[in-house]
Amino acid sequence: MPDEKALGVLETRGMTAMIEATDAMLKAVDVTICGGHGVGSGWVTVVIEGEVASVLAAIDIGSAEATRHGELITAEVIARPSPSSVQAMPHTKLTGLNRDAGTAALGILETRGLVPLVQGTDAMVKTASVEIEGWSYIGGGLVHTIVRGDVASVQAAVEAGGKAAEAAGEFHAKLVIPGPSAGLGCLLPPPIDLSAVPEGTLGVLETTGYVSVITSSDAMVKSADVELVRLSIASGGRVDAIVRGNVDAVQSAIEAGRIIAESVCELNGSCVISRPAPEMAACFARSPADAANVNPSGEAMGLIETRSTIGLVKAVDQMLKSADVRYEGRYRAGYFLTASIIRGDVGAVGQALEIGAKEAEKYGELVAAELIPHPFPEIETCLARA
Amino acid sequence: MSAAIGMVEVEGVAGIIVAADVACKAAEVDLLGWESIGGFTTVFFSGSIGAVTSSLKSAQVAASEIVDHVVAAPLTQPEDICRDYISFPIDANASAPSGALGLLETRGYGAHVTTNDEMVKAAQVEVFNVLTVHNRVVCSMILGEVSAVRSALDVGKELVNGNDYFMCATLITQPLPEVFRAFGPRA
Repeated sequence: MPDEKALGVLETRGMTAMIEATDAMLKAVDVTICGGHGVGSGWVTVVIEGEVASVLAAIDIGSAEATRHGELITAEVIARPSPSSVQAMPHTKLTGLNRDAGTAALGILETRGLVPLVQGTDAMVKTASVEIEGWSYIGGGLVHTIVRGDVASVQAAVEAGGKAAEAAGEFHAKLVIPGPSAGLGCLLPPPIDLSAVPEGTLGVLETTGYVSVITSSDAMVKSADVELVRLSIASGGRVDAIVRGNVDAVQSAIEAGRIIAESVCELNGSCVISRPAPEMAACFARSPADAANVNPSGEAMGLIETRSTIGLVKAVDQMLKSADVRYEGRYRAGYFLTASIIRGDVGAVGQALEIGAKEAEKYGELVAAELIPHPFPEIETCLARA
Repeated sequence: MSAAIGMVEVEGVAGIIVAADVACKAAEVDLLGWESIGGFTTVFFSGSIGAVTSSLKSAQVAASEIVDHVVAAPLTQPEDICRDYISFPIDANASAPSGALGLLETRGYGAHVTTNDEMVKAAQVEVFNVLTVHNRVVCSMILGEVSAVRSALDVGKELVNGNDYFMCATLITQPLPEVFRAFGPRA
């Protein structure tokens, strides 16, 4: 009877610890993955099933591996699970359970923030002959890249990537899996299209919050001849702007962006990669599928961002009532902050923001309230809607 | 003139489930839905200014009894776009079960898999839904008769007690159908 299968639950902080633990479990004993779920802040869970003895052994091995490579949150075995307790649970909806992880060695580089990941990934592809599988975020600012290749290449790549990431920012973990177990496929990021390669030098600017990234992007594209290629979520409230152009332009753009980001909210880091590896550039700078279809209107833009839904709703309600402004939409930087954009003439938007900021502060934390008098049209087409 | 809106925001999601139930029982208001951001959630309901005001007060008191960080605010003449912020509108056509509702909220997911299993085995209850609202917050919603849900919750609390990640556990003896329609499983 399939219902007689035991369940094992393993929860870790960080994807590297999870992949290492899961691979060890799948290789050591006869168990299969039957679900998984992430709850943000870098906490991820896999659920395995099999014979009781196998599941017990697997969870033992898995928790030891997870502890060695990161942080173990939960390790539990349910010998005879009640089917009715499981069916309503979100881990059962994990997709990609049939996805094969392939036979090539896998390398994982995990960092906090996208700047060290971009630098580390660039170093990985330049150091050895490895292919980028993809990248993903799991909350709390934790992001990871997966590469593939032969064992020696992956080892060399991950070594170099780890060093580069450490030099560039907050390194979290790295790992090489010489022969991945087939079941690991469901933990890998979705494969991405690496054909569209943005040319030139790349600049990455990481800030906290949507308002900060929009205003600093606007400053970057105005201050130098650079093109904004992507706004990207790094999770934990962090957002990145990626620009391209010639090396001098990108350098001065990043300088200008840093100053604005610091004044608006928080600057988490930046980098300039003068000759990015094409695969890396394509991986992180692919055009956003989630960009809003906004027609550049030329009107002044007001941005307001909070950590509280009530704060934001009250602010928007007050702004629309007290000034001649138009509501454009709501935007999110991951799952931590919530932002809205209003439009109108400069005076009205400025007045509205002042009122909105005061109102928002009554109900919770105001992250930023900023006015862009003449937003660069390119910025408007890059906005990612909630 | 559009109806007034009441909003209650709490850390986690159990607090607004309780707030939603209390608000709709306290006065003539309609539950609109809820929103989640960074581990905090906000419930929205609408009605006349008087109804919203008294509902808000009761809901705030009820939520404060079980969770920290409760913020409540009315919108007396809301702009239409204020409803844009409700990412999870109530599903008016969803079927609503009957019974008492137990809420067990902790940080982390793994513990809910085992705790729900133990609760279902300990008493005649079922898992109605499991909500995850970011920043690791997970809330299990347990359904059954009052006494069954009460003993299941006792078992659940026992398992997660002493665990740093425990947030709250509470029982709603007669939840309104709207509560199930707003916080039920979504496709």
